[in-house]
Amino acid sequence: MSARDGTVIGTTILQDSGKKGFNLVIVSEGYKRAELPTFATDAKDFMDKFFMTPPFDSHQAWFNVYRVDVASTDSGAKDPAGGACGGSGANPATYFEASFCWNNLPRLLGCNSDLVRKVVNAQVPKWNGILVIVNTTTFGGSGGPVAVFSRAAGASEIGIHEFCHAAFGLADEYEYYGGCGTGETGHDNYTGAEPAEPNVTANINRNTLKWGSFVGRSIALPTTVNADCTKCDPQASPVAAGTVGAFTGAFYNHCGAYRPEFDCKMRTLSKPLCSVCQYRIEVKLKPYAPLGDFPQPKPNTGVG
Amino acid sequence: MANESEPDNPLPVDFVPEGSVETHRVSDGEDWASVAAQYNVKVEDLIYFNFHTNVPEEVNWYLRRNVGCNVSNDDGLNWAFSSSADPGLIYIPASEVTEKEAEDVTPVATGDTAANDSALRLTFSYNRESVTLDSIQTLEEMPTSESDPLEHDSEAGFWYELRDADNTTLYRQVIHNPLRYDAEIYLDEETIVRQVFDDYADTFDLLVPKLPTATQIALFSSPLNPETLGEAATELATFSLTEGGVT
Repeated sequence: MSARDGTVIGTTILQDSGKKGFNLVIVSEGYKRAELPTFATDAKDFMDKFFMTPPFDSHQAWFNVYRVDVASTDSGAKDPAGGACGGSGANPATYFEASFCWNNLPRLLGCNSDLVRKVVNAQVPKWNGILVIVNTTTFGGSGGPVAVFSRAAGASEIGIHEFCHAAFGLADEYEYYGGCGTGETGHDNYTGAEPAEPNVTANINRNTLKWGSFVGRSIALPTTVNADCTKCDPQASPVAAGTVGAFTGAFYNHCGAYRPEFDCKMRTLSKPLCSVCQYRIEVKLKPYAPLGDFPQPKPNTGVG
Repeated sequence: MANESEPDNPLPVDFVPEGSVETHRVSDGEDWASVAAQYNVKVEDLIYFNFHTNVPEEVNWYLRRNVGCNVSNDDGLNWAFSSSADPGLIYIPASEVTEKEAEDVTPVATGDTAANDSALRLTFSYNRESVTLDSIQTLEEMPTSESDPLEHDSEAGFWYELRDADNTTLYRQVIHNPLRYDAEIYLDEETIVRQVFDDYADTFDLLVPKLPTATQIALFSSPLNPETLGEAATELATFSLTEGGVT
């Protein structure tokens, strides 16, 4: 039983914006007690990165941020060697049972999210979002009810991507399921119903496109066309970064589904969130804004 | 000069939107967000009401030509409101609350939520066969996000609805599917792929507004299959919010 493999130490408020704020909780996993100062630094680094990411950069005062220190017996995460996992065989005893090859999927880093939420329910009952940092430098993470990511360089972007799924209902904008170049079938042409998520669509009628008010009249719809719908579209963007249109390839399909910008964090971790995703986030965060505290103009948004 | 683009068919320089309920004179320190909040309207709605566009470069063009903005607070990227703008006028649409009260429609979640500001945290468990509502926790003074549009065509994905005793939908929230039958695998910063679980069983939470008249929650989902995820979502299960069981 993993709950014996460590101790819940307590909670530290990293940012206090008042009781109305959106409560973001950062939890440690796989840090021994003596390593919790490292977790404190990792949590602060993540918070700083998060608040440098638009649109969160303009709304820092809408968030409360908590750090929950949980000490594990051992360091790191499990990395099963058997079967398809092919890992190192590491088997540390950690509080939330973090492991690569989670659910038998190689490279997937997960943990006991049910236990995480029980701990956070006791520490920060009014939590809105939970992120777990796993003390391993191997790149990885996962989503679901809590966002999980490792200490590897760039892995914190997994946390932000998954947080945007869980907290704001944003869809994935990439145009494949198992990967480009895998020869996958069944993802050539999206013919389904209109996706309910705000940042992907099957409808590119200029008058009814769900993000149509963001699209300039001179922007072609579709903005890109995939010449071979059996594959991912290899072409570069024909328009400047940040241009909103309807780019072919999204929602796990090479054609027939469209995304608002050529790239976005919901498509490529290292990229900024697109304007449409940012707008959705701002709409959903609005109830957490303190009275009289509103965002300053953002670069190149034309809203200030 | 701010980033500007002249629209194809620009509105007149003295354009006054039909249905404007008030004229607002902009002043130092204001921005779209503060004005929108003052009149209880959405920022994007306020901008579109004035200029019939949300394209940033076109908005900047109108801010200079129609509103007469002449200062920038961000090194020239965007025009900013100031007391020196001439004529410095923007027009205010009817707020959602005003429209609702005027039309005397059935109360919707946004209004109830604003008045109540309490929430329920619902904890569910699921496997291949079923979804179960395990617990309901009340959280006082806990804001929740406003409702997504209640009226919609057939859609794919996942959402939940709060309904009253007459089965009228009061609140709807589109969310990423919490029933995890597959996962994103992160190979590196540039590459994400998805794989399906051999089997699955887990739990998830929904934070929903505590509405005085809501008696049930309905979950809608498209099929949990990557080949058919585009099929229109159907009602998966409905649970009582007063008894904690399936209705």
